[in-house]
Amino acid sequence: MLTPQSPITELLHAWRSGNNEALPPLTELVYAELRGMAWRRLRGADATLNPTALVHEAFVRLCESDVDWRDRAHFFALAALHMRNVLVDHARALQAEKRGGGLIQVTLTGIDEAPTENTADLVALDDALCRLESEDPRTGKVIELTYFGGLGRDEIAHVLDISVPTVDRNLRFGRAWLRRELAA
Amino acid sequence: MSDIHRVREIFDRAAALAKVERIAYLTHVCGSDAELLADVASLLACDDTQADPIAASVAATAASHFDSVRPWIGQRVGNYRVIEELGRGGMGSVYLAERADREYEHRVAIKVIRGFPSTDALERLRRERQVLAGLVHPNIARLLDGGTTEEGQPYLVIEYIDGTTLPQWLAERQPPLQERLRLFEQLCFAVHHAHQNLIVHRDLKPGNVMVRADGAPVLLDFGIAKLTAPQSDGMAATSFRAFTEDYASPEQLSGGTVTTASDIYALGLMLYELLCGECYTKDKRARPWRMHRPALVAADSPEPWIRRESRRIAGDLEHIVRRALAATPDERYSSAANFARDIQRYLTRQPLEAGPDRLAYRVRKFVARHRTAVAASIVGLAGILGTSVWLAIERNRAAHAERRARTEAQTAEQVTGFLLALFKNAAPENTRGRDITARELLDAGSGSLDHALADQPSVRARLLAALGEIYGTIGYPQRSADMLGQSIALMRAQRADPLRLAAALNESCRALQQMSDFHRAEAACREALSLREANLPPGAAELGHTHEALGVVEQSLGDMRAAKADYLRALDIFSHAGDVEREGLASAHHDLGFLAFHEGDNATALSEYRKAYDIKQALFGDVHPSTLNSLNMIAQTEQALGDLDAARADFEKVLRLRVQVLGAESSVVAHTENDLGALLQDQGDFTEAERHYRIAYTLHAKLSPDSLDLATTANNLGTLYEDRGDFEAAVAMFRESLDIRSRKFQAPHPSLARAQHNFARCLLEMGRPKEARPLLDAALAARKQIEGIPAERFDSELLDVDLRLAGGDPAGAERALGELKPPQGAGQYRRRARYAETQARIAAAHGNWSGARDAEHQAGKSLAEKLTPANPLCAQVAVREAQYAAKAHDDAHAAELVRSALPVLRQELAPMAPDRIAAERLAATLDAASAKRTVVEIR
Repeated sequence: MLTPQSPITELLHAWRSGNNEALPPLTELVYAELRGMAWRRLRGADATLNPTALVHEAFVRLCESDVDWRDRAHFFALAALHMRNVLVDHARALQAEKRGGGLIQVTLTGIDEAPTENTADLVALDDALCRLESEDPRTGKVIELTYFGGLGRDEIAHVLDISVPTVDRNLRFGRAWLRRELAA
Repeated sequence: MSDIHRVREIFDRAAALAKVERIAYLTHVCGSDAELLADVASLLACDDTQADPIAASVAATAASHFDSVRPWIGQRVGNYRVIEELGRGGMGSVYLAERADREYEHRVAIKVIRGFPSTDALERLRRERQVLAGLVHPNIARLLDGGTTEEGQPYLVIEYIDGTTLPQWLAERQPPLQERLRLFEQLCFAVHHAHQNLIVHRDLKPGNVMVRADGAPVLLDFGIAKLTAPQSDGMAATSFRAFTEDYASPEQLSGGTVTTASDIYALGLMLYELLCGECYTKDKRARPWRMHRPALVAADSPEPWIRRESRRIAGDLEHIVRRALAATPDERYSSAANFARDIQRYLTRQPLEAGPDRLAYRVRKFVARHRTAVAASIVGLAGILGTSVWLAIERNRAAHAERRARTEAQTAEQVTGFLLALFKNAAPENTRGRDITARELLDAGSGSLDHALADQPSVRARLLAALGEIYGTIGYPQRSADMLGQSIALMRAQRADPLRLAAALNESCRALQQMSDFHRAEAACREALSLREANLPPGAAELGHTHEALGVVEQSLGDMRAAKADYLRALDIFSHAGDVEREGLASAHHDLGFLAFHEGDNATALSEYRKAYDIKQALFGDVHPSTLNSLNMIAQTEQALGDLDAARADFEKVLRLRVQVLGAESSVVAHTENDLGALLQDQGDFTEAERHYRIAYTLHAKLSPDSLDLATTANNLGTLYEDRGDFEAAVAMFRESLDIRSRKFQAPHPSLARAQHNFARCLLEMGRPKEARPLLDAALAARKQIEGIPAERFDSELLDVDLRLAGGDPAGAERALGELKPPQGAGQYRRRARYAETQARIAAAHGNWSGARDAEHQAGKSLAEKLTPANPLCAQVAVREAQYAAKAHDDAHAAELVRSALPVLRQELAPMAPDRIAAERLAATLDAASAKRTVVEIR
């Protein structure tokens, strides 16, 4: 029986070995941790919220130090995917609500940019990323792991089983490609 | 567009080059492929290694998201502050919250979507709001409000149920089977109510039921409920598997069409669990029924309180569960109400709809139910036949000694055949599977009597009289009168014993009286009286009974003096007849009380009722229905006399004892609950009044749905909600009251007009004059047409004035009001108050604030004729007067009025009641103004 109380290492390992039952408690655990850390950040003076840092910190808090590197890679992949879903859904929900006619004022602690624009950006970004993934899945993955999972080049290289310079090149290309899409 | 891999390859290389070298490289690689060249060039133009807008966008969204899913505890949502989490489900959480302004002690449950509001979750919450908005039922948690937080999180405010969940309730209370079944029955009716509103719950399970402190279940969580209305069919497309598998129907599990029958199935699963304490899980259901029959599971239960009654479960209750759990939706109960009725049938030992279709089963049930009645009537019939036949034989004994044995055998055979026919004709093939009733048994018997015994008229006459009497007793006066009429005709032809004829005439008088055929009743009674006077000594008790029956007829005919004379004769006879006729004596006193009550002589009525009550109490004890009937009349008389406290105490006693005798589930109890509710409403105790009305409402809805009793209680409950300022709830009740009456009556009818009028008034109070107009027009037309209801006609004419005013025609309204005269008489104080209030509104419309204040003051004085200042109606009028006074710059007066009214309003009015809100605002404004004044004075 896998519960959210099982150690994350165990859940990760089970999931990587093909046990899909491990995914929901794992996701719940990761999300809860991310959320908890985010609140502490938002309440503190350091109001910038960098998901990259969040995911790293979550990993440190959740995982034992001797965790297998492959499990570690999977953790980041999972965290990235989940973070992307959560954030895009959030952005989309806000947009949907606006179209519904009810004007809502999103208050963001410590963020200067107009939040609605950023959330709109994220939906467009996700759409563009989906297009990129359909044409060039690996570049898409590199972008996702970087921006939503907070992975460094080495870790991405591990997860995707490619060289570090390839990660760099893909990242540069992906960014340019997305910027062009979003500018259009 | 060029192949992305080729583009990427060229981009990678070009990006690695210094900018000046790129052009040369690109023209070289792309050659004549201009599209490729443009593609890569545009990408290179977007290659900026310095700024990272993607990271910024993700960070901002993350901040917004995590901010919005912050903990709710302590937060303010709308007008409420969240106190604690009550529970969480698949997508949402439910929190306990209270009014943020501490003035109110009002607790609610707030439901929010946990985490981010995904489109699906938003849709579900929106749908739940839509579903709940249409449901007002005492056993369904009510929707109070809804909205969106500053963070964009949508939420619902739902009635907070102070109780325990059903599983907790079972574990803590360990209720006996009967109590569990009663609770389940109420639940079925709640589900039925939803179904009637075209709503399928889709997630019925014990965890979604709360049990209030008074034991009433409340259905929660319509989160995945579906509207089955045709216009909403599009929603079926967005189906999701959000239900709980162990409580889901086969069609839900297989992804088939979910209908009301799926809820019936889920109710069946809940009943299973209530019977034996265990869930009938998906796995158990996959195995044969006999392995997990509830009776077996209960017998093996670790809980002694379940084990104790496991044997009662076998049989009927298992049939009921299986019927509800039929694999095919068509084979289940056709409605939740039918399901509930089968539970009722089980509890009252009647044959089940779900029962095995066997004659033996039906007869066994019939006999079990009417053990005494059946025995008595069968023995009685056999006895009458036997004796009469025996008498007939006796006459011929000497001459026909030999024939005697043969005739006797023949008669015995006739008797046997007659009784057999009673049951044979009630066999399922003849009743087409319906329940057999006492009526059908008797019909079968009397049918065979048409052909049998034609050659023995006196036996036939006596049988007819006996059957006629039984028909009368079980409530079929028409049939009773017919049979007694045949019997009487036969007796006359036979020159039968005059006293026997008198008895039949006396019985026939009762039947005719019930049929409101008063003239024939009087004729029958007078003939009975003269026969008895001629053949009995003066002062015989039978004469007393005939005088009493005659008095009742005369009273019905409006001849009060004759009625009184006969009642007094009966009283005289019974009071000299000794102890055996004490019951008759009590009846005579009761009748005299009834007469006085209807003549408006309440003091005499009270004294007569008290005499009747004392005798009955000594004779039968406190709890006999007849004793309670007199006590009930005492309470009504006290109410009419204005002694509301005494009336309340007596009504409460009647209620308590009736529940003790009849059980809580009887229409007599429901009537008492309704009467008590009305009294409490008069007293201004709205909270208690609501409680009693609600019980009456639930009982009527269960025992006689679609009846006028239900319509009456719905109307009363509606007026109570209206008085409390809870118009949404009131409208639902008025609508139901009108719906029922519309099905029963044709316009013009006073009852129909009353429902239309009340509905219209409530709509106007809600600020919906356009919808009120057609209803009021219909009521007004009817009330003008019907003679003898001037007070009600005045009500509608006054409301018409208010509607004109609301329509922006103060001059027309004023003219119309000028043509009305407020009614006089002590009982008309509320009408006079309404009249003055309309005057006030007209003055206000002209900006004449002091005039409005004075008129409103007059309204308050009218109410004060009968009501105490603590009555919420007085407080409401006081607040309106205060508002006008404030406008007229009479702040001191306004403040004084508001200060005394506010506590009452907070206590008895709904939180959203306009008068209560207005009072709070006014109090705050006046406080602020006086504070400012104080500051100025100090300076």
